[in-house]
Amino acid sequence: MFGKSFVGRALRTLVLFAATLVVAQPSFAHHSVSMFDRTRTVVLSGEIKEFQWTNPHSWIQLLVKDEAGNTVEWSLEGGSPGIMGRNGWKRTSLVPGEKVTIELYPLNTGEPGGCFVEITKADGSKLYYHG
Amino acid sequence: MKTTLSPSVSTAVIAFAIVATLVTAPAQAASPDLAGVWMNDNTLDERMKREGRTRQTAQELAPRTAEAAVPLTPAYLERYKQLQAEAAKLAEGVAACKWPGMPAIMTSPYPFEVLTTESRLTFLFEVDSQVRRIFLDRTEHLPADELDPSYYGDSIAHWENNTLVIDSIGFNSQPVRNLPHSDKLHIIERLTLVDAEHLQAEITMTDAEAFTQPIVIKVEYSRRPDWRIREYSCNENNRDAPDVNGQRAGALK
Repeated sequence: MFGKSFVGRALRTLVLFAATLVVAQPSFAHHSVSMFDRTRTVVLSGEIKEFQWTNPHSWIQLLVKDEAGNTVEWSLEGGSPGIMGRNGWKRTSLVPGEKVTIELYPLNTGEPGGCFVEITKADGSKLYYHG
Repeated sequence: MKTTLSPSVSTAVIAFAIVATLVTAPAQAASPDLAGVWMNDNTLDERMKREGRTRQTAQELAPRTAEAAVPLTPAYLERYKQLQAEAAKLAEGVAACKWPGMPAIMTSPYPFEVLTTESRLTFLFEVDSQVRRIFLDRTEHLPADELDPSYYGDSIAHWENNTLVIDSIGFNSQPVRNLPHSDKLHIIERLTLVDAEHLQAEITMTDAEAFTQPIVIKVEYSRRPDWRIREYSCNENNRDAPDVNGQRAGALK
């Protein structure tokens, strides 16, 4: 915009240094979500073993039968009680023994874990991590 | 019935009126009321609820890119690269618990409650149960030998019409927004009550030794009178904490 002259370069430098850097507020969270493959979701049906209503994250321990008939325990991460509570959750929203279907973003590592997105209860009602 | 006061009584009455005006003046110029629970309006969850969504957009799901602008002087740029290299040794998504500090606490996706008491404002944050004490009865910062390096520094403030101007120094060496800084870090916050329910913050960070230019962050908050602040301790159940090798210690089980 100032051309290639010395004055132009000097002016541009001056403008750069005088500028204040306005940064967007970071999407602060407890940790990065890069551990999850958020390009796809997996749907699992199983039984709630435990619902950990804890900080910094809540966790669902879900018992799922694999193709060979073995029971595999999945660890599914959600938000803090504060964030999820303000999204309509309660500590009693899931109880041990309950049958549910859960859509989740799986761990990149292929281990039985992920981040839940949507939960469908036996009566058809839904719970969402967000919103 | 008309009453006529003698000159001496009139003078006394006028004098009393002047004194009364002086005594009551601070009450007439009452500070805007910040007391109550406030929430950052632009967090993922607040945005999704406002828009009636339960799914994140492709943009929200896209991997985060590193901060493009790193306005650091050469020595601090070197330190920044060291910090990035150390962080890269951790497994993906692994994070130890640590206090947010300034200014991250002001942009966190958690509410805070402001208590107004004589001579100070107290900000009680949900995230990690943090506290900021902001002094209205001091116009000077603590003397250097009393200025303990800390996550929230020494904060003094005054009102300019509807804007609370908070001046903070005395920060510890923890990075701010992943940027290293010197002990000259200085943060000025301008919190403007645009109306009774909305608060806008402009947070300006300068560091004559580490930053090549001021860094400004803007945040908007809304009053949430029906919200309660919950307990939060990151150490309660941090299954994403790193083990000695930087691997996730307890994500599975």
